[in-house]
Amino acid sequence: MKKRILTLLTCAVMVSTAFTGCSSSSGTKSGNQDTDTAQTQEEASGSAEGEIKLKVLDNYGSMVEEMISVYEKLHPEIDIEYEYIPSDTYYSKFTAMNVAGELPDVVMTNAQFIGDQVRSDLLLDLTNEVENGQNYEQDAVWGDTFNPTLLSNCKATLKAIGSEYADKLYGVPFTMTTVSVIYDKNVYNELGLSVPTTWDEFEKNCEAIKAAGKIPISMQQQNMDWWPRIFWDQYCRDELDANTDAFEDGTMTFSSESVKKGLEKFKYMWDQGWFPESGLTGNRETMQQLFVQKELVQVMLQPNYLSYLTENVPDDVELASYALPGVDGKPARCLGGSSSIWAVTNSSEHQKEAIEFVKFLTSKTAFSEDYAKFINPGLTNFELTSDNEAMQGYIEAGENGFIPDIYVPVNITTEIQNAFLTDLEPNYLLGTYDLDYVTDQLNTLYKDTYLSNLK
Amino acid sequence: MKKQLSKCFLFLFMLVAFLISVYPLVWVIIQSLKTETEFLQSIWTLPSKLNFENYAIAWNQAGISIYFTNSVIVTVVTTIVNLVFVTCAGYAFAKLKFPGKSFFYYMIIFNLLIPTAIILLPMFTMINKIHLVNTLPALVFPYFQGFAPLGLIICRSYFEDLPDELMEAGRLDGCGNLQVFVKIMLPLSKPIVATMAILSSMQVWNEYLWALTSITDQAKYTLSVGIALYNKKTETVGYTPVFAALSISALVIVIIYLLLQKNFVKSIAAGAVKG
Amino acid sequence: MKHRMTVKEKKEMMTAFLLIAPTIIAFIIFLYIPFVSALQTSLYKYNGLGDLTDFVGFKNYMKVLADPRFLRSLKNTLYLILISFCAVPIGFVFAYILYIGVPGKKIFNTGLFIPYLISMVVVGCIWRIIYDPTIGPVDQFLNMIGLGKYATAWLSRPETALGAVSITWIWRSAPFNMLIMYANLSKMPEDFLEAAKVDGANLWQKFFYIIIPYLKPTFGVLAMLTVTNGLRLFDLIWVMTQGGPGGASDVMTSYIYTKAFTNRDFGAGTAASVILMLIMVLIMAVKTLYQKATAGRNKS
Repeated sequence: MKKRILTLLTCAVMVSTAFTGCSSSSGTKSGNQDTDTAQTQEEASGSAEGEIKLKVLDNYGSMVEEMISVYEKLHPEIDIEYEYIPSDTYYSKFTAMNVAGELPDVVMTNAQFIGDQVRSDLLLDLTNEVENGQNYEQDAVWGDTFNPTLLSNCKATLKAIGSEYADKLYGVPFTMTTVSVIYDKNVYNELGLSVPTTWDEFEKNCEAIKAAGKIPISMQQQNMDWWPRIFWDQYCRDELDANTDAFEDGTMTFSSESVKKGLEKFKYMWDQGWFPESGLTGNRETMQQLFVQKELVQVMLQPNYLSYLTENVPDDVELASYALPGVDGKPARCLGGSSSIWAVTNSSEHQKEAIEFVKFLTSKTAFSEDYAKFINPGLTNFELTSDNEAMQGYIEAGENGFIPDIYVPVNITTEIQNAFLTDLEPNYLLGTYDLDYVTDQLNTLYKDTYLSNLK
Repeated sequence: MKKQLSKCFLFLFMLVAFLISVYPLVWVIIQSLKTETEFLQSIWTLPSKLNFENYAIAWNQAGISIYFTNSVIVTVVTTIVNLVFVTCAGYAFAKLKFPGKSFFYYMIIFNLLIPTAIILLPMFTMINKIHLVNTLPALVFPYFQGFAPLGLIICRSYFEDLPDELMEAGRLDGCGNLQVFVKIMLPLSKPIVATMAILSSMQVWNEYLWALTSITDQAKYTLSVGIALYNKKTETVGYTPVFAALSISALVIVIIYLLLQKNFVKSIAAGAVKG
Repeated sequence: MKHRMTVKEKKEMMTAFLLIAPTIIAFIIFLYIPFVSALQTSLYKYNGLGDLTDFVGFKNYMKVLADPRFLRSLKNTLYLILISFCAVPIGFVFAYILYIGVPGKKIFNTGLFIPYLISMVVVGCIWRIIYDPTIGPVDQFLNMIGLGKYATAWLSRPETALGAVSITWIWRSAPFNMLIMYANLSKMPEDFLEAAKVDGANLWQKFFYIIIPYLKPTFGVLAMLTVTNGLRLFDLIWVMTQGGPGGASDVMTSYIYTKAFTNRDFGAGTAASVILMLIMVLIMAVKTLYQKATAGRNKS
C-alpha cells in the first residue's frame, strides 16, 4: 500500500514540476519585472514609482519606434511599450487583445479597420480635443495643424459607417502619404526619354522602356487598387464632383462607363506587359528589388521607403521622381492622404497622457528629426522642403490635392474591398473574369454589404 | 560490372536529391554573409569576405536573441508535458481495461480533424477566462492538445507490442497496475519516448499561428513569430539581415539534429510508426 | 449481461482513469469547450469584437456553400493533397536506396532529412525567394542553361502558384516519410529476407513480394498523415502567396483565416471550418469502412 502511494506521489510530482516549470520560466523570459499574470494585470495600471506606462500598437514600422525614443527622452515619466504588427495579421492580434481586455492605450489603425472598432465602441471620441484642444507645442489648435484634406478624409471614412458618426473624429491622420514615380535618370538619358508631362508621353516612355527589354513600371499586390483609383480620379471626377452621393442614390454604379474605362485602362497596361509579372503576389520589397537590379525602370512608391533605395542602389543610378500626369488631362491628384490613423482606446487608463502622446506623434517636433527626412507629415505648420532630387516629385505630387480615400467605393466595406483586391481585380487582369462579371459582382456586393445596411 | 554501374547510378541519383535538399539552406546562409549591395548585385557569387554583421543586426536589433530563448523554454517545457501525459495515456489505452475506452480514445484522435484556424479565437477566450494570457501554460497546453493525437497513436501501438506476459510477471511479483507501468513498462519505452521527444520539439519549435495570435506581449514572442515579423521588414531593413535571422533559426535545429542524429535514427527505428 | 466488477478490475479502472485524466482534462479545457463555442459562433453574425448577439441560424453555412471562392479553395485543397501524395513514394525511394546501401549513405541520410528540420515559416520565406523571377535561383538557373523562356513568376501565375507551393510542401514532407520507412525497413526481421533468398527470388520479386507488403501498414499511416496534414496546411501558403494570385492558391485553411480575420466575418469563417471538418470526418469514415471491408474479406 505504501508503495502505491509513493508511486502516486512520484506521478504527482512529475506533473506538478511541469507546472512550476511554467510559472518560473515565464518570469525569466519576459525580461521585465512582471513575474506572473496576476502581477502583470496589476501593473497595467502603472503603479511602478509614478511612472506611467503607455502601450502602443503600430503597423507603420521603424519610424514610429524612433519617434517613441525621442518622446521617452523628452518625457522621462512616461514609459512606452511598443509593439509592431504587420497589417496582414493586425486584426487577429487586435481581436485577441480585445478579448483579453488588454487593448493598448494608443493604436494605429486605418480606414479599413476603424469602422468596426468605432462601432464596437472601442475608440475614444477625439472630436472635441481636435477641434478645441491645443497642439503639442501649445501654439495652435490641434485640429488646425492638420492638412484639411486629411482631416476631411478621416471624417468621410467614419461617415461611411453610419450617419451618427458624421463629423466625428475617432482618430487623427498620421503622415501624408504621397505616391509618385521614382526613376533612374541615367536610364532615362540612355533611352533618350524625358519626364512625361502628359499621359501620352508617359505611355510612350513605357513603350520605349518595354522595347529596350526592361520593365516600365511597378505594381504590387498590397496596393492593387492604386492604378484603378488613379484612373477613376480622372474619368469619374466630373460625375462624382457633381453628385458626391452618386453611388448611394444609384445615379452611378460600377457598370457606369467611366468606372469601366478605368478598369480597362489598367488591363490595357497589364496586357502591354508594362508591369512586372510578379506584381500579382509580389510586394513592395519585390519592386524595390527589381528597381535596384535595374530591371524595373520606374517604381511607384511612398516616400518613406525611399531611404532603402538611396542606401542600396548601385553608384551609377541617379534617383529622381515625378508626379504622374492625369490620364484624362485633368489636374492629377495624388494617391495617399491619411492611410494611417492614430487612435486612443476607450479602455485606456491614461487617456490624457495617451492623447498627449498622439499629439506629439502628429507634431512638427516629432517630424523635424532626421529619421523623417523622407516623410511628408501632412501638417500645416510644417514646410516641406528638400534638396534631395528624389523628393521633388513628392512635393509636386501633393499640389493638386488628393484622391479621396473613398471615391469609387471599392473600399467602402471590407467585403467589397477584399473581393476586389484579392479576387476580382487579379482575375480580371489574368483574363479569368471579364469586365461585366467584375462590375456585376461589385454592384451586388455594394448592394448587399453597404446599401442594405444603410437603413 | 553491372552492379558497379547501378551503384554508380544510385549514387548520382542520391547526390542530386541531396543537393536539392540542402541547397536552399546553404544558399540562404551564403547570402546572409554578404552585404546588402553584394547580394543585390548577384545572387550567385560568394561573399567577398565573411561578413557577420547581419547576424549581429538580427540577433540584437531584431530581438532574435529574446525570441530564441523564449522558444527554447517553450519547447523544453511543452515536450516534457507531452511526454508525461502521452506515455501515461498511451499505456492506459494499450494495456488496461476500462469503460469508455474507445470513446476517450477517439475523443483525442478526433482532434486531427479540427482545423486549427477556427478554434484560435475561442481558445484564446478560454485562455483569457482562466487568466493565462502571456503565460507559459497558454502555449504548453494548446500545443499538447495538438501533439497528443499523433503521439498517442505512436505510443499506444508501441505499448501494444510489448508482451502481456511482462505485465503478468510484474503482477505476480505483487506490483499494482501503476507500478507495472512505472517499473516495467517505462524503462522499456525509452526509444519511443525519444522519438516522441524529437517529433514534439520540432512541432513546438516550428509552430506559428497560435503563438502569433495568443501572445500579446512582444517580449514573449517565440522565434517563428519573431522571424515572420522580421521578414515583413525586408522593405526597410533589407534582405541580408533577414537571411541571417532565417539561418539562425534553421541552423539551431540542424545542429541539434546532427548531435543527436545517432540516437534519433535508432529511436525512430525502434519505435517506428506501424499500421 | 452486466457483471459485478471484481476488485482487480476496479483497481485497473482506477489506474487507467488516473493515467488518462490529465490528457482528458486538458482536451476538455483547451479543445472541446472552445470547439463548442466555435460551433455556436457559426450560427451568428460576428465581427470578433463584443458579444454574440446577432443570431442568423444557418445563413452562414448557406453563404459559404454558395461562395465560389470556398469551392475553389476546396478544389485547391484536394489538388494539394493529391499532389502531396508524391511525397510518400519519393520518401520510399530514398529510404529503399539507403536501405540497400549506397556510398556516402550516412551523409545522404543526414542531408536528405534537413528540409524536415526547418520550420514551415522559414521554409516559406526561403522558397518565396527561390521562386522569385529576378533574384530567385530557379529562374536565374533556367536563364543560365538557356531555358529562359520557361522562367516565370512562379508564385504570381495562377497556373503555377499552387503547383509551386505543392513542390515546396513535398520537399518539406518527403524526408519525414523517408525516415519512417527507412526505420521500418531497417527493423525488418532477418528471416523475412532469408526466406526469400532460399526461394531464389530475384531483386524485383523480393521488392514486390516482400518489401512492399511488409511496408503496407506504414504506407497506410503515412497516407493518412498526408491527408490530415494537407488539410491543415496553413503557414506555408500564408507566407508564400497568401492564397494569391486572385485566389489561385487559396486552400481551406487560408480561406477560413481570411474570412475570419481579414473579412472579419467570424460566423462565416467558423461555418467554413465546420464544413471542412465534416469533409474530413467523411473521408475518415470511408477509410474505416473500406478497411473493415477488406479486413472482412481477408478473413473469409
